[in-house]
Amino acid sequence: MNTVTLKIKRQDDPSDLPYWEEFEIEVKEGMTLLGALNAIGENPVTAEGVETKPVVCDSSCLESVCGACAMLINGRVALACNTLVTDLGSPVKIEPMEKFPITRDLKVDRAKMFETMAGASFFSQDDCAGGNNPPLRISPCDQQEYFIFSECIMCGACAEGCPQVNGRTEFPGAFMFARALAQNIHPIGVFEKAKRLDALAGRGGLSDCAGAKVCESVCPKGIPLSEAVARAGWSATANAIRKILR
Amino acid sequence: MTPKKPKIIIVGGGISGSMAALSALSSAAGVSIFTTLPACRSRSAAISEGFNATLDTGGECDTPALHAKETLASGNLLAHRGAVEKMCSAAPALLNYFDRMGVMFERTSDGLIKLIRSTGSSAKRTAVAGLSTGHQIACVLDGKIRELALREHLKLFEGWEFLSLVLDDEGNCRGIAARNLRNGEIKAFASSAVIICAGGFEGIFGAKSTAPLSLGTALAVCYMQGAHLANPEFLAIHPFTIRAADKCRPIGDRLIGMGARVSAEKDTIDISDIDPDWLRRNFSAMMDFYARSTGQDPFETPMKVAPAVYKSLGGLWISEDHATNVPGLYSAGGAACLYHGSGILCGNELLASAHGGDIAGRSSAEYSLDENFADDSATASLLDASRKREEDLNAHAAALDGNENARVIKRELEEALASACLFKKDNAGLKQTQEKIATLKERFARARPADTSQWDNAEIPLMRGIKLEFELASAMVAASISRENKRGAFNTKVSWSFDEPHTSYEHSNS
Repeated sequence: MNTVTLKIKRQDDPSDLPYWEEFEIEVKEGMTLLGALNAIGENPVTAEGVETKPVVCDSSCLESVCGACAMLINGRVALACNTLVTDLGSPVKIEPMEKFPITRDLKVDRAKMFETMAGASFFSQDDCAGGNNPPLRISPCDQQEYFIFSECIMCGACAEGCPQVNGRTEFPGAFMFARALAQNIHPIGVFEKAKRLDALAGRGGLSDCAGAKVCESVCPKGIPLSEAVARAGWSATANAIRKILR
Repeated sequence: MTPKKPKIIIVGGGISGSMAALSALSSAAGVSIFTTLPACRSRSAAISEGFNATLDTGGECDTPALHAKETLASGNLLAHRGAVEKMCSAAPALLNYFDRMGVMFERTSDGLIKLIRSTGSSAKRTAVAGLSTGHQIACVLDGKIRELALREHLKLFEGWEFLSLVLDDEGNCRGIAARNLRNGEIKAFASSAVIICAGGFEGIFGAKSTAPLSLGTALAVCYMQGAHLANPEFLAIHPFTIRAADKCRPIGDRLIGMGARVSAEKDTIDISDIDPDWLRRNFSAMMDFYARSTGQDPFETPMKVAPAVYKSLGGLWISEDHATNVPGLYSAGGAACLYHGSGILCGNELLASAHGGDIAGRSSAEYSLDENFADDSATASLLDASRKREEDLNAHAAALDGNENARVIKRELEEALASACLFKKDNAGLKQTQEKIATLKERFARARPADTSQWDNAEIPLMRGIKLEFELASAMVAASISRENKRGAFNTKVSWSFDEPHTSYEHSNS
């Protein structure tokens, strides 16, 4: 029988201490790591034969578009639904992401990411209801170039990998640059471009990025995040100069 | 006494829920959204098809009337004609709305929204944002809802699970009971109307190409509390998916549209004719997953594909203004049945969710204004009773003490449904499934939750969810069996009773 050993870092609630448990899972064809974690639920017994509780983790779509199941797999952040058990070898070390508060086991609280996005109007605010208003025009070249920046799934991998996301800075992670860039070229989003750039240039913004570029290498959607930071940097500088000259 | 500002509770925060919230807000109602997940992680986000609207930027004289005709034809004339016509006329304005909110739709060379032809449509009608149109729309709506919540225009209860409706003695809907998933706290909330936008029940099938969380829990609760189900036996099947151990990944009709060739047995797809640049831009993640899981390069060998359940087309029985038979209870999106009949036109799913939410929000606000809702002591005692009942039910689920694992029962139920109710149904198989459901129910009575702690407990909701899955499964099987005699122009109506589901038929007004 082909099996894999999962070493999972668990924690019962935020105030408790973490502990490790090992599980032996039978590998099925095409099994993802998330599938293996769910298989524990059907027989929650550790490798030593001790009965335990099923492992709690976030998951939703299982096709890498919802971003729920990001976790540390052998020390590297990835989506569990997009990771095949057969690619990992054995044992596999699984931990929750460290840059977010843990709620339980592999589940973390990413509310702060959403607060960052909502607070700085990273989405265009259109009060009209569409209706009979004239259609917008966007250059197809711009659309193709910027589309990738709107593909962010809010998984938090960029923040997890980033050495600058730590207790000493207010930097939330590179995810905020991507969506802001896509909105800045939108014919209505552009009205709030200055506001967005001010937010990006402020505390915990562009100046806190040290250019480690880990974000780009761990992003499960392959968003060119270091390019996003560079572009946002140029626009923010231009915006600052424009403000001085005004 | 001056009438209070009506309060509307929306269960589910995906595309239909968010749209319902926005339209109820514009009708000056107080809105609360209860959702287990952020909108950008909802099932809506996994819809890879585009958004149908007759903008006619392709210059093919496409009209809403033609769109409606083709929608009705895909549903074998079982969808509601009036509602479908209204939806198709509203589609261009909705698309315009999402475009203005920042969804990055693909463009024509003169900068307008580019439309593509999708399966079942005779004109170029579908607006797409890569292969993640649903995700893009869910994201902008998520941003808008959060911004409104931040400015305290509405209340967002994220991480709360809907448990049941609060009904008064006359059977009117007066609010909901909900549970905070994190700390396990149960609370009841008063409202003048409730809109169920929590999605369909496609997740209860073994071979599915959809989010496993779409278990139809919310709609099953309403069904057991007296709301009627419509057409639970109809399923949309995704013909081409990549089979993996946990889930079938849909590869989308888009590939066929781009020139992929399907083998005669319909079990492989050859993509070697498609522009590799386009594939790399839009499809690299899926190709990569396929290559890793099967060890075959999709560019070299045709991809192996299999059919899977994509969407439940039935749901709560609603009228043209999205009201169920329970006064004050509304529904939209995947949880309701109105626009699709027995089949769905490619690209109509997002449209139906967005438009349905819009209508449900508006009509529930109108209902609430007429209703003269009073938040009095009678309501308070109803809420209290409802909270107590839910606490008892949870305590009961936690106290179950047997030797069966609930997850194993759940998997067996899903496998049984997948083998009997998907591609080929016959009465013998359906009868067998009924028996299987009965034995599984018996076994479930001896199940034990694997975790009874209070904090972030996923097992108690799972246990309660399985109970509801049984009800939906029985309704679906019963409706399938009785469909035999009443084919064609009839819609099935199912109402819950303690022993077995009661089915009846209504003539379709298509």
